[in-house]
Amino acid sequence: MEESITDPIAQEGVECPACAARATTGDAFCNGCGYPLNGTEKDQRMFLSVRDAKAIDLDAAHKKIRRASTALFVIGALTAVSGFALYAVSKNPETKNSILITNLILGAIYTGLGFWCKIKPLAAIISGLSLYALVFILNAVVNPLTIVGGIIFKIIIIGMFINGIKSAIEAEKIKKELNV
Amino acid sequence: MSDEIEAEIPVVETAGAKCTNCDAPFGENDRFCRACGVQLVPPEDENAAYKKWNAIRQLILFFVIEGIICACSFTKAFHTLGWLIFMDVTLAVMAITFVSLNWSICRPLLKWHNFSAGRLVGYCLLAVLASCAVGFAADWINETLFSKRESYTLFFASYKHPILLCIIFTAIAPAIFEELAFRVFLLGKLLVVLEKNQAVFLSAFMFGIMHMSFISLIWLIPFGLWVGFIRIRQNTMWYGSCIHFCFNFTVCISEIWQTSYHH
Repeated sequence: MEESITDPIAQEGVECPACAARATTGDAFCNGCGYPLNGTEKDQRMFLSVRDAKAIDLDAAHKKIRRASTALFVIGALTAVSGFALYAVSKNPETKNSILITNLILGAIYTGLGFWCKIKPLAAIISGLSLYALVFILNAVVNPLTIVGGIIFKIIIIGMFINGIKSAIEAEKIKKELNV
Repeated sequence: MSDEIEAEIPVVETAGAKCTNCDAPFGENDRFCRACGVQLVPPEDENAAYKKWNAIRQLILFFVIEGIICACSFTKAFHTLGWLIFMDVTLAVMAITFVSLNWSICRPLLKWHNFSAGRLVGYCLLAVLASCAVGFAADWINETLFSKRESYTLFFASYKHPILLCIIFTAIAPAIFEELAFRVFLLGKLLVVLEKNQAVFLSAFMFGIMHMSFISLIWLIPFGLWVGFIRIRQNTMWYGSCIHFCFNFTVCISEIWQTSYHH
């Protein structure tokens, strides 16, 4: 932890075995994560096992976040491909171009959000979900039949997004607790 | 109800503070007591979690209603002045409703604490310049890619007082009600759930996609980010409102000028 190094009391301390914080030699507990520096070996083992359990939760959350980012890539690719397909099928030369370009931009946005998911998962997944929902609403208003089209796929994708958002919130919380 | 929204974490007293459990003093960055190991920053209480879920529910409701109205306004069947007025009034009523539901967060933003005429003029000039640049870019994109011009004024041309209507519906109404909806309510609620930068980005992103023109995202998102950060820094919506007005008014005037020139 950067801040604790600039903290004058912590400067001469020993490094905490559990987290990155430095504790003063006289301290009974780490000020960053609560590790019992002077505790019995049993206490220390107990503490580390609880910490490990949290680290496993964090891993699980990261896995769900990755799934959401995969969903973003899949939608991005599908949007771009359907743009080309509609361009090839369309007979109206006026709307042809704008359909292709709109789909390509949408695909690029989804893909970009998929990459951004690695840095700022929460904002990226919420953006992706809101864009997906808005395109769904727009299609539904223009042609209500699109609500039922591919409904199972849509439900799966939205489920992945919602799980991703929950996991991103969870991951931020665990990271704070673990002081990593 | 939620006055301490802007404060990020309920930080326990800093200088000279003592642990609630064992009375040992602790430093500013300490998260656990050095003497007894008790956690000093309490984990989020039930009330904070409830507030977050409440915020998320309101945000979803807002987004869906706003999305449906905006989607309707882009379908051909609703391209009449009557429908336009109906939808703008609905959006305005919705913005006001959501703002009044969250009066404690929104009220401070409706005041103009540190009014500075120099800053205001500077922002407005920047907005006019940005609007000109965007206007040229948009015309160029529309002409090269779609070989047509988008025009708001043509829509109003068949009614009485087209210029007045254009100014009301494309400059004044968005400057007040879009700002109320996106910068006051939406950003205020997002700040309950997310940290500052992510909240500003999301409000700008949602503001951008709500316009349903995916090419204009190129300038709508930077515009939303700019206005969002000003709203955070100055803690008032009115700078943003003036910027928004200047931006849209410039578009409006340049289109009126162009159409009269072409005739």
